[in-house]
Order: sequence, then structure tokens, then C-alpha cells
Amino acid sequence: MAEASITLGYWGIQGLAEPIVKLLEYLGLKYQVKAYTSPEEWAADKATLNTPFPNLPYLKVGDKTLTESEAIAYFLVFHANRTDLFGANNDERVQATAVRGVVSDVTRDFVAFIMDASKHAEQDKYFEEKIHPRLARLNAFAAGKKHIIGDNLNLVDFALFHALYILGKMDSKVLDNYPNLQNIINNFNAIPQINAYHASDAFKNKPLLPPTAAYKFRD
Amino acid sequence: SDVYKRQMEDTVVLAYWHIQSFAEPLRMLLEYLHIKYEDKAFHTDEEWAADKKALNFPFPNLPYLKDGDKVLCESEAIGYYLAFKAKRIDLFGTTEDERVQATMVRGVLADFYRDIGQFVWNPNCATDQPKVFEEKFNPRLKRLNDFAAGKKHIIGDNINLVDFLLYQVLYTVRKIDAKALDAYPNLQAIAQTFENIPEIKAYHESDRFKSRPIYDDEAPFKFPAP
Repeated sequence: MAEASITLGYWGIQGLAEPIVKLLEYLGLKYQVKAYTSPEEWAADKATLNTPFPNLPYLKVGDKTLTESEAIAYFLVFHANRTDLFGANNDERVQATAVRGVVSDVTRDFVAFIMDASKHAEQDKYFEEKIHPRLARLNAFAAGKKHIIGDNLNLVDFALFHALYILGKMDSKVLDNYPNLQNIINNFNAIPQINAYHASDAFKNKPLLPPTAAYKFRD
Repeated sequence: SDVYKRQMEDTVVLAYWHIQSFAEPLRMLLEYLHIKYEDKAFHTDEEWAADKKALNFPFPNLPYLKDGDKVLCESEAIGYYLAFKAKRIDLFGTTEDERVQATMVRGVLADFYRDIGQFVWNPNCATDQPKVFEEKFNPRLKRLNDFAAGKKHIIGDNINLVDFLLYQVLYTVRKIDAKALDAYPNLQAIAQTFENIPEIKAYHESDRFKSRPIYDDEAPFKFPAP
């Protein structure tokens, strides 16, 4: 079967699309990246995109274009015949959905924080009130597990890893009290395709945030 | 007796604040699936604090679903759980393509519903309303309307979990502005089809539904009284 060509469209940063990139790498799918460097460039393409809800990221597969990160991830799972990534049984699927809710909420929250320079001076307070309670919850959930749902890698591991990665860049001590989450991160990093991708220039040269983000990472 | 005990175990508990908001799609789903449930609704922080303590669950949140010993949080996970419990996996989508489409629509609706919540809690909602409709609500309604063309439910012939969220979005938007769907006939048709589902219709005629506010009374946007 001929492999349909895959193009991922996004802003040329890690941003919110990175879990999809890691998933593509993990699944061993060949893909191209269309990196938009300006709103004008995107606006021009957006008008012609044949998809019901044009947005970034998008995935073009053959002549079909898909948007919404989760839908893109689902598509790739079906495309690669890896429905095990949804969960090994109904209970895992439900658990994964619950974890995804928590990860989505915390991600949306810290992205809003990053994009609002007026809040940056209060980062420690923000982490204490908004981030640590959720991390504690996830850490408890992760006890005794290899990946966040259990023995088997799940789609939600990709979103979780990326969220923890960004939080770690914002505060290098953020996971100090969460050994189960550190364990999960290490196991994810150790996946050969993930490890290879993280060592690649494509990953290392990709900025995390858009140039418009006024956030200064502590180093 | 054993029979009574089994019947009680067959009743799940859905707990939330005494408003529609995020729990309403789940209440409609429970009704549709004929799952017996206790509609636990908290009016005050104290009520929730007391219940939280009795629940004895490590990370309690609202809404939650309790089924026997099991406690589950996160609205989407609760929806999934109920679909599995009722053996209605068709509600996820009857083909892979439908499942992907439904996931896409859910992403769009989740953003939309969040924007509605922000509008309702915006102290300047009255003055901002025309702008919010023009810039945020109408563009999405238009795209959803186009997507809905020729369809019985939002994904196609078959009802889907996302229909419950879509209906709640359309219902709420129409309560904000009675004319909100006038330009979107496909969405009106889908809302009407959904409302006419016997279980949904019966639920909407119940006192429980009719007496429940959409959002908190303290919210800046004042909905018409239920």
C-alpha cells in the first residue's frame, strides 16, 4: 500500500504541536513540516485549506486536511494501526481520558500564564496554587507505573511528557517532589524513537515558544 | 435485602453544582442511556466540602461520578465510562473516520463552551456581547453550521457523544440571545432533532431540569429565570 504523504502545518516552534511530532516520530511515519513564520503567511493558507475548522496545527494526509490536535493524534493511531495507544482495555481508555482532561487543563493554564507578561513576577505563587496540586494528583496516579496509564504506552503519555517538559523549563525544580513523574519522564525518554528524535537537530533547533512570547526561562 | 442492595448498586451518583454548565451534557447522557442516577447538586461550598470529606477520594473534583466503589472525575472521562457501561460504543463513532471527526468536533466545542463560560463571567458582558458574538461565537457557529449540512446528528446519521455537548452549547447560546441560531438552520435542525429524542424530551419536561439555572446566580450575565 502506497504511503500517503503527510504534512504537519504549525508555527515552526514546539508549542502545542510537539506531542503530535513526537507521535509521528514514535510511529515511524514519514512526514514533512510546513512551518509558518508569520500570521500573514498562515492567513493566506488558512483561506484555502479544505477542512471544516481551519486552525494550527493541521495534518494533511493525501488530499484530506484535519485539525484539532487530539483528532490528529487519533487519526495517526488508526493510520499506523496502533489502537493499543488508546488503552489496552475500557478501563485504561477511561483513565486515559481522565488524565488527558487534567493535562489539557494544566497546559492551557500555563500557556495562558506564559503569554501574560503581567503575571510573570508571581510565578512561584502561581506554581504553588495552580501547578503543584495537579502535579501531586498526577504523581499519586503514577505510583508504580511504567507509563502514566500502566505498563503500556498511551497517547496521553505524549501530552503529559510535553507539559512536564515545559514546566521543567519554567522551573527546574518543579518535579523534585514527584519521583513517580520523574520515573515516567525517564521511561518516555528511553523509548528509542523518542530518544533519537530528542538527539536530532530538528528537535534541538526548534524554539519552544513563539517569538511573541515575552516569557524569560530561568536558567 | 440482596435485591435492594443490587438495585442501589445499580444507581450511580453524578455530583456537581446545582447548575447546568459542565454537568448538563452528562445528565442528558444518563437520561438517554436509561442509567438510574442520583442527581447530586451542591448549592454551597460547605455542602461540597462535607461531601468531599465523606467521599474519601484522593483528588476529588466536580463533576464526579460514583458507581459502587468507583469514583471518576473529568467530564469527558465520565462520558466515556457511561458509554462503555451502557454498551453503547457506537456513541464514540461507528467507523474510524467518525471517531476522528467526533474528536475534531469535540475540540472545537470544548473551546466554544469555555468561551461561553468566560463570557458569562465577564463583568462587561452586556457591553461586550455584540463583539463576542461577532468575533468568537458566530464564526464558530458558521463553521459548525456548514459542517452540519445534510446531517441528522452532528457526525451523521448516528448520534454521538459530541451531540450532547453540541446541544448544550446551542441551548446556552440561544438563552444568551434568542436569535443566536437564526442564521444557522442546519444547527437549528440538529438541535430540534436532539430535543425530540424521547428521553431528552421527557427530561426537559421534568421539574429537575426546569428548576436548574444554567450558571450561578452570581455570574454577571443574567439568564432568564428557569
